Amino acid sequence: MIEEKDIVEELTTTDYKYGFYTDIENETSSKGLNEDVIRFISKKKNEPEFMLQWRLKAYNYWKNMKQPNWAKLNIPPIDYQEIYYYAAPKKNSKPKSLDEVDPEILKTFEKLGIPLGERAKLAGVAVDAVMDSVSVSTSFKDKLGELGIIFCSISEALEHHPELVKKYLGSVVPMTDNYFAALNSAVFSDGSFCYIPKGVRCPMELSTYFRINAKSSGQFERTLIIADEGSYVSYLEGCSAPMRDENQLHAAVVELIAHDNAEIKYSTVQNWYPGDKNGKGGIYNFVTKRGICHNHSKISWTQVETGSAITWKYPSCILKGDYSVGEFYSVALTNNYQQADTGTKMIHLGRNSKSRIVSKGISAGKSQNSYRGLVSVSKKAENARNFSQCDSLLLGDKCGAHTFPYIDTNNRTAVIEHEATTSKISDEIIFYCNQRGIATEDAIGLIVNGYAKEVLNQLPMEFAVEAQKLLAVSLEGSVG
Amino acid sequence: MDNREIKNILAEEFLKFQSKLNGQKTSTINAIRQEAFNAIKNLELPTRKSEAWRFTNVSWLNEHDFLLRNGNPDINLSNEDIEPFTIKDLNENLLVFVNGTFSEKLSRIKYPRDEIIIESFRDAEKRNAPNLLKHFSLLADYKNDFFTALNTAFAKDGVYVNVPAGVIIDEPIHVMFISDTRQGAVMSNPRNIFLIGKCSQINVVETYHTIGDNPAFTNMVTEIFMNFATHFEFNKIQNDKGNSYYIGTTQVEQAKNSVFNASTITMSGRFIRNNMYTAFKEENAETNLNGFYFMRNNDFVDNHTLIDHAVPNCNSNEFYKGILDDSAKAVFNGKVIVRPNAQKTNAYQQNKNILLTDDSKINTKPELEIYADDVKCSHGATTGYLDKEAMFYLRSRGISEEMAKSLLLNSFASEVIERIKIAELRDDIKRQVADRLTVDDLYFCDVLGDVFKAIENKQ
Repeated sequence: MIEEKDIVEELTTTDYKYGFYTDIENETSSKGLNEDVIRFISKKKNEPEFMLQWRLKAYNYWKNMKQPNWAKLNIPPIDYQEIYYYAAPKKNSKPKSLDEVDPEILKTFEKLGIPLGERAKLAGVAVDAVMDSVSVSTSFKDKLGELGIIFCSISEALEHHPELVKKYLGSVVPMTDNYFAALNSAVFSDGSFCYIPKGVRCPMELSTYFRINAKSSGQFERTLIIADEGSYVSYLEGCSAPMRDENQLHAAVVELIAHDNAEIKYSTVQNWYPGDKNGKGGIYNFVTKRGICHNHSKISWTQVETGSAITWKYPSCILKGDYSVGEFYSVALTNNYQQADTGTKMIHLGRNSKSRIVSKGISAGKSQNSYRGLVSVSKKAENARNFSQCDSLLLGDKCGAHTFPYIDTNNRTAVIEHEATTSKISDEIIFYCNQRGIATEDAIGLIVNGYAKEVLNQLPMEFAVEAQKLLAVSLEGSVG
Repeated sequence: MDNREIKNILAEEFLKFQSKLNGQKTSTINAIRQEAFNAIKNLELPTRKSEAWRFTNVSWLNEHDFLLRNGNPDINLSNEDIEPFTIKDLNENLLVFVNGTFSEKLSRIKYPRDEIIIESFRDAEKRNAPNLLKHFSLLADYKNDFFTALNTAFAKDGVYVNVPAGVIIDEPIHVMFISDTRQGAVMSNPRNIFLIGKCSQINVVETYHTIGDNPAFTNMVTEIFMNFATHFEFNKIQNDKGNSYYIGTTQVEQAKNSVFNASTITMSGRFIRNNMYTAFKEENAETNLNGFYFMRNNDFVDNHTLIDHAVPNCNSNEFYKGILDDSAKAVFNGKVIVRPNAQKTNAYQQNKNILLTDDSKINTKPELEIYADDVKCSHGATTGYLDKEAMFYLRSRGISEEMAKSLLLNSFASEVIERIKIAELRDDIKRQVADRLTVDDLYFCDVLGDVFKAIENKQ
């Protein structure tokens, strides 16, 4: 209870806790996007020739595509020629130990509370921290190396394991998939790469922090996780960004590959700058996340979305293998003028494939929060099973909560269930709490946390605590 | 045929159509026809790229040259011809339309004109019925919807009902739309308007039939205006031949304390698209939309519903169930909008489907768009096969697999069919479903239905 109170106190006094700006000199590409910029990025990163060709191909696709407008979002026009597509911390000789890392960067991470160095060991987390575009520090590499696990930045992976990257990059999210995926394919700067060999259970939670730092440099992350047969990995991704007035574009692509009998658990806490109370500023978050499940494998997405001015994100599972399992747990919270259009796609292709969707939307202030999901069962997916539950909670009468579930069934043995409810916190519950001496604001904190518990429980421990705090922080000012 | 060709054809047809109009050319209705025709010029035939037609392909419109078939060849039908289409034992007001034109000969209207106006749109237009002029196209969105615009531009006949205040009409109004295709394919554009005075009640049954083996396309628009405390039972029964095409838009506007109950029963038809749009204009109104579709062969049905909670304190209930056999396909798209300030709204939506074969297909999308906080809204959708436990229960009691299947499907269907208020019609539909399932003992089915309901409630 006391902690709850602290949280609320903290929120009322702080606006955006993680809003600070680190002054590090950047080496940037010229403004705008053209073939030269792509060549520049590719060259800067010492990429093999095939990568450059791949990027150029994606760019040429992108040129002829149009920004999608089907989502229930009001997206201000984005001038793609006004964006810097590459920004890297200038001291780009790769650090070998913590001492070599720019102290400014270390400070930034400290403020964010990332366990790095000593703290990393204590927390038992291997962090491949990404600031803007270049990976600056990697830990626990040796320990993971012993097991044959490759966990590094995509650039490093291109250097040391080009054959793996070549084989899997774009295999789940092809460059032609959608507008933002094509853009990402053309200009992606860096990201994480992870390979778990056959039969290995990754002993620790792998985590990465993405941050947007350099002024008006869109961040284009690319994550590739491959779990080979019979392996297991749990991956965490956390975000926070400095407060900035201009809108920043973020178009990431995440690809997961779960081979036979493998399991991938992917958790996200997304807390990009959501804009101020009047809807000014904030990050545009257009993310394509997709995983493919082979026989008897499992992919589980868990996300807590509290940040970004605009969120456009649909972590999906292609259940290609027989007996494959896809899961999606989501809490999406919007406040003030935030807009979120998020959900999942479960594509059942394999026999006896199963999926489960639990989505909890919370809208407050003047925000719009949409769940958009697809459950599709192909003709051959015998005995496919899906259960979806999408609940929306409305706080205040100026916000909106919307549900757009698509259910396409082509097989008679499939069993699909979809359930959705929309409600507000009833006066009776608030009264019940008030009666027992719990202030209205605390009561709402309690109820929202209880409401989201089913999803928060899916998060790894440290994340769950952070996520709870985030929910409370993001709800600040919405009561009354 | 591309959009330009379609427009050229429509331009010619519209000229022809206009030349046939006599006294009505200068009426306000004709001004709207012109407007609708102008709107078509800027509208495109919907393709699967547009969200509302994502799963619904209308390319057949070109295949059968329907746009050229908007005529009304001389047809002479007798009472014997329509005999098979009547509903057994139903004491009704019968209005018959053949290829979109009212047939006085075949119709039987029981009420004298000076009490309750039940007449054809054409007659009402001829005598410049003030309420018709006032209400025509108030609800229909002819500026943005291709098929509504098409109907509005070519609107010449249909049902016009104007019930004064405080009247309860016991005998249902049965409107029969017949397409006679013996001389070739036919398109018709019936346009219906219902105006219900304060505290009045009305029951309407719409049925559709095709005579002859050529394809028929019915493009219908219905506008329903419900006054204070009115009650409307609207039944659409679609059991037409395998080469009939239907697109129908029903728009309802509800005033305070009004209740609108609709049952849409679709048993067959090559292509059926039902748009059912209701909007609450004042508080304390209620809408119940029920639907049942049971499609076979290559049939296709698409139910689009929209319930617009524009004001507070209204209730809506939507309940659609479907069985799909052979290579039948169905689409369900239910949308509920709760606008800002429409507090204390209750909105429920259910769609349940059973697929009987691997070639059948269902695309369902129950949508909620909510802008108010003090609401209770929920929706659910399920797709599945027959309940294994229920099947086992029956099989273990010596009932054959075929029979058990029929019984279960029958009880699945009855949940919706039971909601039809007109007893004769309800029995007729029950009979049709039972016949298709080859169930002999209807009584046994009812008992069984009760048993399963009891089991479900216990769980």
